[in-house]
Amino acid sequence: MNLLEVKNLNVEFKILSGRVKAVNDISFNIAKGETVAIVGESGSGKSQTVLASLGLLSENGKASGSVKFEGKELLGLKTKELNKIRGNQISMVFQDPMTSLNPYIKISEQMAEVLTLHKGISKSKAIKQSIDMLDAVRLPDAKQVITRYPHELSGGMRQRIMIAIALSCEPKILIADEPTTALDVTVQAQMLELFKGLTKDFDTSLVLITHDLGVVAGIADRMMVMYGGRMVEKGSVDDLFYSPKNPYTYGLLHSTPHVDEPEKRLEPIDGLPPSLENLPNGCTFHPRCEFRFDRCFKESPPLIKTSDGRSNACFYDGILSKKDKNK
Amino acid sequence: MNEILLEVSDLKKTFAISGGVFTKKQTLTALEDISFSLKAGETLGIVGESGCGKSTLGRCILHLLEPDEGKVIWLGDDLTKLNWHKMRQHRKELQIIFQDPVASLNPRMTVGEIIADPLKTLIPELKKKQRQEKVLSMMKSVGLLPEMISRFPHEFSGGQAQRIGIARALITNPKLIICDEPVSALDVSVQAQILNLLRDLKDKFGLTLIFISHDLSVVRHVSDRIMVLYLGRIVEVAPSGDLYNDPKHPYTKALLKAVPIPDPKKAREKTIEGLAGEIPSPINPPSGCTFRTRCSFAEGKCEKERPIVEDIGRGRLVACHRWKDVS
Repeated sequence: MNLLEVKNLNVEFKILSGRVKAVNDISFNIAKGETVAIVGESGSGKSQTVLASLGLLSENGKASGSVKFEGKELLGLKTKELNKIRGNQISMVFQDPMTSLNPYIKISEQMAEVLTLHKGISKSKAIKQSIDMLDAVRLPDAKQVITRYPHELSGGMRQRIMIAIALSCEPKILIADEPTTALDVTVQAQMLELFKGLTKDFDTSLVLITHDLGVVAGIADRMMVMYGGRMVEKGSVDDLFYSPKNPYTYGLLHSTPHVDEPEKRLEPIDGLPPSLENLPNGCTFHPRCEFRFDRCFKESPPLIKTSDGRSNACFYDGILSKKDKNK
Repeated sequence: MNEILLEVSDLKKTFAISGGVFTKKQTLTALEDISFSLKAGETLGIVGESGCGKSTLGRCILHLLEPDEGKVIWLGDDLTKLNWHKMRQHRKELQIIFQDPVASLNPRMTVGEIIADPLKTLIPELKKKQRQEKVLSMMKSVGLLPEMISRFPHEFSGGQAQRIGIARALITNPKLIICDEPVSALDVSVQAQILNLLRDLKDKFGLTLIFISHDLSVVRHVSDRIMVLYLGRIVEVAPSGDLYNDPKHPYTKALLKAVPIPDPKKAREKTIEGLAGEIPSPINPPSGCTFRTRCSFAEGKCEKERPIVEDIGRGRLVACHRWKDVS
């Protein structure tokens, strides 16, 4: 069963020089209990896609299309109605654990607020439940920690608290936007293990937004690759890692250094990610693509689903390999 | 074989942390007992998590920070003993590339002025025309177009800005370049371009590099030899391949295990024996071996005695009482 159904989502921002399209016709579903990664570089629209879904766009942003949670349309819903779902059924963990907590308020207050608001339980009960939740995210010495202020805690501890807050109402979907990017690698490993365990224990669906393919490989079931506001490829993690069909996915994989492989020359993608204000005509990736041909300059390839359950938005249907590029 | 360019011995750097009204002054030991040498043409990677002292080390070598104790011998001269004037003569041989490519460029100067600046201050005898020629040829080497010479930094993306930073570092024909997290702020596809560029430039100009990074995959990709730091001390030094295939120190081992591998099958097989806990505060480091609080091999001796950096042959150094039991 699909918990979340996003259809033809578009996000536009008004800026001084006109309008910018940050997300262009994105559709996807999230099923119960699965972990889906949204992968892309800066400006690809991966964060805006989920922010738009939850009505969290900045004031100059406008979303159109449809986002349904358990059949209920979220776009255009009143804030009051939306607040019954946000933080309760769908919750979010942000990238920066340092700035996501209010520095003036004790951890206990910040954690209890979520529960008193959404579940209507008393504060003392809420604090007790919060301590249990901190234990669940394996924060040592939870009883002590909950009485402190955010600045007294390390980055890893704060991120655990953010995760605990996000999970405290037992949401059906947890959205994590670059949750480990600001953390050291040993702490990142702890967090990823934690996410894996928690999604299993609570049967929560996890939407993971990241630029790091290493993180995706270890945790996700499916992945979606975004570029210049569009979705370019979608499929199971194994399919996309071992036989990418879109030249951008292919390029991304070959740009990533592996720690377990001896030195070899990386194969970067030429050029730079596009500016959303000035997207190229035709396929947004064509200026950087090695496999482009006439059609790519004029038409934008639609995302087409193939029989094997994956989707790809590319006109080129040959083999992706450096050797074929000059054909 | 190659001559030794740089020899660092017993380097120590502390920072005074000024106390508040009621708290006393404290000292933070950022680096202690750092000794190593660097051969011409070599790339030494320095890795570690936040607060391990890797950036401080880079800055101490360049005398951008004054070390408390120890020597930095550069081609026979102890840089720590030189006055400002004499140090200046060495500046053109020693250069640095910074992490944040845009912030490290003066926004009011054009690209041409930025790249020419070191020539103006360090090689003032050069005529304007020669300077211009050098700037243009350097821009070509780092992949910048000649027409970009009169543009300003804000017009560039991170990857291009880093190319400008690299051109500025190389313009005086330095022998040694310290790269302080040069690709951390860049997107994956662009990161690969810059890594390949650094490698090509190294061959072209016969450079020696010190490559500082928190990202072990990136460090492995560029380095001949790698030094691992933890809380301001050397824990292990080894040739790149040896370090990854056969780490001797428990910290190196844990660090390598924590790095996510962008390969779903390998990632699933991998069991993350998460390193427990987080990095202790450098203001109040543990007694004896500073890693013992997170180490599964720790025993009584580790609490009392600080392990010395031991030469175990084949170019490998390790600082652990129990390294023989680790592998």
